[in-house]
Amino acid sequence: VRPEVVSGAGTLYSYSHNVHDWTGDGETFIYALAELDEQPGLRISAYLRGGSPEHVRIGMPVRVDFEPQDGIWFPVLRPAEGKAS
Amino acid sequence: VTAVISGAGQSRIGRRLGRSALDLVVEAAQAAIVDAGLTRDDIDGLSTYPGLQMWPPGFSDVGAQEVMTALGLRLSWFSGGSEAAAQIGSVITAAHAVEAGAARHVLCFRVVTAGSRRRQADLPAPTHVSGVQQWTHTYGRSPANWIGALAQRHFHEYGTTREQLGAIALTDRRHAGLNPAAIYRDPLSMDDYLSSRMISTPLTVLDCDVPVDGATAFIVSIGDAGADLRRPGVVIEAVGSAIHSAFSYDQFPDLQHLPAHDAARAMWSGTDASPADVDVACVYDGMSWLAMIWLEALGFCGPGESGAYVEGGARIALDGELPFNPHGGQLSAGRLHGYGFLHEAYVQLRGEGGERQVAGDPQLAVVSTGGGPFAGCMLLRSA
Repeated sequence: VRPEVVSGAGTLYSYSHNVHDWTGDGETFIYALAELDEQPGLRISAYLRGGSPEHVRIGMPVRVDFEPQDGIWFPVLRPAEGKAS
Repeated sequence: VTAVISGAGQSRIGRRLGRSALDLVVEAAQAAIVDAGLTRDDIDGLSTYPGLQMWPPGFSDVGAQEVMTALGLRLSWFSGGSEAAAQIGSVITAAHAVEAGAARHVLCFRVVTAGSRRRQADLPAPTHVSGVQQWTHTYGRSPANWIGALAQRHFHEYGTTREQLGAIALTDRRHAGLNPAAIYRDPLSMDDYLSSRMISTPLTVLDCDVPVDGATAFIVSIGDAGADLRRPGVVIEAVGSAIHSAFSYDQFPDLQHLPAHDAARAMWSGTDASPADVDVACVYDGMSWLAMIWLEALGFCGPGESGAYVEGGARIALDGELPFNPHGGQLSAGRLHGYGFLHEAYVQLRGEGGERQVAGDPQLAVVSTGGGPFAGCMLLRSA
């Protein structure tokens, strides 16, 4: 078993806009599931950044980006240009 | 399957009892042993879900090891762990154990003290995750996020509405009003539901179950144990513990091929009965939407049709065509974590439901537990 490089392009399969303040610091976020272009049914879970909740649509194109946190680069999703499926 | 549930017991259940998990298990276990007409000396098997776990606080503060010692059991066989077909997987394992001759009377238990210990600040949060959890637990702070996304997809694909989803919470609450042991018993209106505080779209606080303290226990006995017992046991007619896709919250073919569907299909393949024969349904609702997808998986309605099926609540009322969660489910009767549904099915088939008893002497009950990759179900027939 080994990692395989993918394009980072995908489609938003679904999401949930978290509005409850779990940690007391006022953090809200969009938890998202993206289906990768390479394979139907292959999805990643990540936070969706750079899209306001009103503009998030299932089926919109997204692209993987990376965000540093505590010295680790975590994948996040961003809205992308391109055809929506 | 030739195993029976010969006894059941519950501890006191409450939001914050301030009692130890071990104390609650002992109370429930002793009640179950007495209900079966047995003594501690008769118990030669022990099975539990998920075993001792340090996190989250109160999720499972004691496992099989401490309980066998506290009860002074002399065991031929025991098992405890979370890698099973959801919570009921521990009861399914017990049934297989008695069928295989490994034990004759297996005590099964599940205990939660998440009510008293819900202030998670009491313990430091885990700093890393591994295994399948690394792909989801790194993102989101609650199952409300992971299950919320699945519910949102269901809304998108099938046009499911919040009013339809709300029928689960309203039905549970109406039934909980008839259950003296339930946590939330005040009536709930659709306006209350629609205006309740959003947690993670589309799930509000009323779509999330309530953390409690409490223990539930069963005795699973071999089918020919009649002479040992106070009365014939409730028959385990069929079980479902199949899983055909990845063990994951996000890798599955589609919303009609979740582990719940695999488990349900396996259960129906083990019986001549069909969904139309079910007299009472005790369906997992740790998050309300999980009950919707279980209703589809179990075949009570077609793919994507659970919204229309539950809409208005009449069909799933106590006097409806599918009496649903007479005790109030985890949403209103508390997160006894799977075991509460099996307990209610047992109570209903014994005719001991009191004010909430389903009329007409129910003979067949279905029980489902779990969400996401966790899925296990069982069909029970009255003695």
